[in-house]
Amino acid sequence: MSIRVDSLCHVYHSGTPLETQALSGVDLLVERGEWVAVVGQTGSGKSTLAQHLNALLLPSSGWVKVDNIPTTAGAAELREIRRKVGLVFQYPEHQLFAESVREEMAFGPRNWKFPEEEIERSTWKALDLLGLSQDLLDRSPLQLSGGQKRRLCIASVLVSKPDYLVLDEPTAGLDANGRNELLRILKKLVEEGLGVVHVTHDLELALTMADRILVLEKGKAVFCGTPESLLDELLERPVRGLCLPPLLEFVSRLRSYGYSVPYTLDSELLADCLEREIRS
Amino acid sequence: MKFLNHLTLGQYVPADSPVHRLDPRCKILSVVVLLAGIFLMVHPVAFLAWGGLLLVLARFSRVPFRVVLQGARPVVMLVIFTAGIHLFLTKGVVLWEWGPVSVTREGVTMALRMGLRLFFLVLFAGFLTLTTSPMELSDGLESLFRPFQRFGFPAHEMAMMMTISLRFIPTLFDETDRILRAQLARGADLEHGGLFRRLKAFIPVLVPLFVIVFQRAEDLALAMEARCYQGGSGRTRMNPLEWKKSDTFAIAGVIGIVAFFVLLDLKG
Repeated sequence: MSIRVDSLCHVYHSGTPLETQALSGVDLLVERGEWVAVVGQTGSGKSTLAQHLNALLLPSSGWVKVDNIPTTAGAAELREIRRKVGLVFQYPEHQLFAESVREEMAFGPRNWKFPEEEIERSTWKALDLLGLSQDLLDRSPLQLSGGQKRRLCIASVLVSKPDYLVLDEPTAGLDANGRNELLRILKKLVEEGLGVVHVTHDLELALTMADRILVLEKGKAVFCGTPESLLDELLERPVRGLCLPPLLEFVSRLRSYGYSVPYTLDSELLADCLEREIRS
Repeated sequence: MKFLNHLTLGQYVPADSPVHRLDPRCKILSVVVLLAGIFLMVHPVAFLAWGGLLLVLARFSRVPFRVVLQGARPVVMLVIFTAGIHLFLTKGVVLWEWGPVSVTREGVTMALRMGLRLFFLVLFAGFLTLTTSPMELSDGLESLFRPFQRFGFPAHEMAMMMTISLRFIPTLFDETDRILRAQLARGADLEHGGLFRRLKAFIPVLVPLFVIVFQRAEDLALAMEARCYQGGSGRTRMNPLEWKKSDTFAIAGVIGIVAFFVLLDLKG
């Protein structure tokens, strides 16, 4: 049970002067219960990849399979794929339309013909998971605060019981509290068996949260592996398309001065080692 | 999958051609003359000449003819509908009959005349926006309407409003596309069901779009305010319009051709 992406290529505006190769030969595997981060700069093809995972975009060549069903299968399978792979767009607040939170939450499940009692149960569960109170059910989504709106959007996708959740820059524009809260919730969802694909340009976030990281640059995968192996790689040589987080810059500088501190983003561990180094 | 990817109505095709270089005022006036000419056409055959003129214009402006024709795509349904109404509802010499439905000779002429007239109106009007950038266009309109300012007509404000709305059309299309995708990802089904269901299915796209439009308008107003925008009084321009000899020739040529067409058409 997994999403498999195999030598995926995507060309926009094929056959026109605006033709651009957005993805060329990308491979990716996402298991349930796993947090995969897709990192890259603007224009690296992250969002294009994200939209392939639930068949909003179809491959120009190569394929994407969700639980062994290719996204190019028939209309019925396609709808099932869209349910299995929840997609939360960048700034998802813009998709809110309903008169009440209740209606907003029911939009997805109704499209997939869930029975009404199940919609209600699922709504409660999803709101609870995202830390939204049930008092909000009859409020207008537009009255919620920024952080609440963002969480409502994610809840409105989770309510359809997806097996995978693809989030495009879910923390963009949130304050530090909202960000940490959201990351904590996502971590919990992963532990409960959801497969999460987290699209971000924030390398630090990917290194600290993800189980595996895919680095995209100009539509090509330049790295795919665990955060630890990415750190090892970064220690050896710069990886194309990646800027080091300030803390890693700091550690590299320390190491170049001869301090033997680990190459890590764990600030506590780092402080301890540094203290030991200084005392000895 | 492409959702909203095929719209050329009012899209500028940049090129360096004699038509592109004309003063926008000259082009606007020429289009007015051309459209008036099309309205005066009576014989469907006369549109052959207009078609020829269109080809010549496309050649001069270096806009691919395919792009020119694409401009008429949004009104194809309207043209067919109008022609159909005229075809079946005009009284006269019956050519063909089937139950209550009948086609008359006058109906055929009317259908052709109306259909072609509409079709050519859109094509020629489209030429203006294909060869004139939105900026030039609104500058030209502002300048043409300035004489009416003394009667209280807000020429500058109108031109500014036009520039802004034209500027935001592509942005709003992108925005619509994004919302559409977001709702599709939540299982929205926009392609199946009857007309009513499909219209209803668009509510989740239209409501967020309206919210965004108002937000954008407010942001823009604030940004203009922050730069001390206060309407047209005392405003100078970066590229003042300049009426050249070639513009005089162009408009004289257009008037000449249209007059010729009209006279020819009147004679039969």
